[in-house]
Amino acid sequence: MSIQVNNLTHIYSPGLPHESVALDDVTFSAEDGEFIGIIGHTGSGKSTLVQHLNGLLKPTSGSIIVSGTDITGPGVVMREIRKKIGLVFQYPEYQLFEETVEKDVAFGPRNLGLSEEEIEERVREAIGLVGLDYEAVRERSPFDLSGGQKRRVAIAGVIAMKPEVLILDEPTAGLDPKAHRDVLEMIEKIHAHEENIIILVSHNMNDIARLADKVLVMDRGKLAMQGTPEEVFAEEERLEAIGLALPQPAQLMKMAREKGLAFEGSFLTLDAVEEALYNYLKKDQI
Amino acid sequence: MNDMIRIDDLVFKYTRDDTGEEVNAIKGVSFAIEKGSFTAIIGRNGSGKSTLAKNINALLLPTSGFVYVNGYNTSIQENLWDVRQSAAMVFQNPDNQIVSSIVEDDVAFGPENLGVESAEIRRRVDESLKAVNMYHNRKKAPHMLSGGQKQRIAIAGAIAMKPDCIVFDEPTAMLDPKGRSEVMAIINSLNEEGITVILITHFMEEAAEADRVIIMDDGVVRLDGTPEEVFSHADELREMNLDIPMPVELARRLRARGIDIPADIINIEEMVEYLCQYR
Repeated sequence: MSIQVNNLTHIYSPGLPHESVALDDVTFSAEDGEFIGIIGHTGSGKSTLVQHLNGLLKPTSGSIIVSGTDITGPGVVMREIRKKIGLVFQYPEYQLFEETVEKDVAFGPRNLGLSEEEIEERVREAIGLVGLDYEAVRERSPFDLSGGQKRRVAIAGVIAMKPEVLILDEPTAGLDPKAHRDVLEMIEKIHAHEENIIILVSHNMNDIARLADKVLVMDRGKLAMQGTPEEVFAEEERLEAIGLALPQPAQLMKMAREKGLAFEGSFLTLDAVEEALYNYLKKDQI
Repeated sequence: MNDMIRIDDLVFKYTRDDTGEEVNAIKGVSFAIEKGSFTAIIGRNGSGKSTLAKNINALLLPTSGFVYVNGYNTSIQENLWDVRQSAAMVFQNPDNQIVSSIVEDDVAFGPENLGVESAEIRRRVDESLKAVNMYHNRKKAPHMLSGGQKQRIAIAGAIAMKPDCIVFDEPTAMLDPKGRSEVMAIINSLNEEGITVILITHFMEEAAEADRVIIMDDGVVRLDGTPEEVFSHADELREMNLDIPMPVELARRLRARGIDIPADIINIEEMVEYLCQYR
């Protein structure tokens, strides 16, 4: 499985007075097992980009090659694409609709035309993967669950389709700290279990720095930067110009450097900062 | 009488619609909030913090105990308008609290309902929109604005009521980092102008900006003090499944390895200042 996005451009309302370029010549690729993080402001084109990847939007120009097939081409069977590429929208719990958790999660697989045994097997597995107890929740109404649990059920509905690419658009927005950690652990677990490509859109730089193999930075429709978290977050000034913050540990070390303290490196995690500060302070204190 | 809010042994119970089960959302909470202060209330989902906020605004009334807002007992029906005018409320989702299709009409909605005369409404709307930096957008349609801008409109709507106190229930939860910092800047400046602020949040960095932090868990107040005091209870906070601010966690880890770090470091600036002493 691989995705190759070439010169993707999307113009909303072309030719009209309010014409706007939502995506401008975006090119990147994602390989099997890769974890991609996408960051950028509201309105930078992140959500427009991910909606192209599973064919919800058609580009004005450019191509998206998914395992050899150009999904923007004529005559492509979208059902085949959506089988492979699952998209979890923002606030996916608003899309729950069935009477029971089991039925809700089964909705996608059933539309794929799978056998009843296969559907049940997939629903059981997906509910387990999102960290819920299948027997305990299957007969419950999804609307009686807590916010974090609802979101897991919604994500289970996408995972049950067994997508080779799982795209999550701000899956932790609005959750409390515990539910936030749980959802991220769940994503890591799914990634390890399914060995799929994960594309995570997030405003949380700490999460992106910790999890992503590759970071894409969107700015006003353009792919402003791409690289490993170390590469991207080393470009402090460019990020600042775009209006994006560094992960908190990196912010601390940047401020320390500005005060003339000599800390070299990228410091994306708390562990890295702890080690550097321990070595710096122990000279004087221990 | 320097208390904006006084809560005496508040108990709040309700019955769940689906199961008929009785839920004890608040189990005996007492505290007072001083006029002009900035208090953050933190707790995981289901801890009772939003229920508490709704009791302050008389959207919910105590099962037992009392809530006084600006001296008005919320349980007395005749006090309702005085309570609501004293303590305005701003909710999490800006889309759920904007009622008009033009920004300035939306801000005027509250004062119109209070029966304020029209020249005064005009003045309040202009002032409120200026206070949240949205005056230039007064003729726009709210749905054309960003989440942060919409939340600022909702705040302007609250300010236009001229409340003494504003209760913010997770006002930044649905916003991007830029929207969050815009809204926090407005909250801080309102507080500087003398409005009592109660901020319910999941973001520890936001709570660190308050004068006082109250931690709710399972319907009771578990911790109450300055941010420095509260965040020094790192183990208890973790046990309640809450985060602690990054600089506090860092200091805690270094302390565990034998480094002597003062307990009052709670933000990045203070940590850097401390590090500079060892240059």
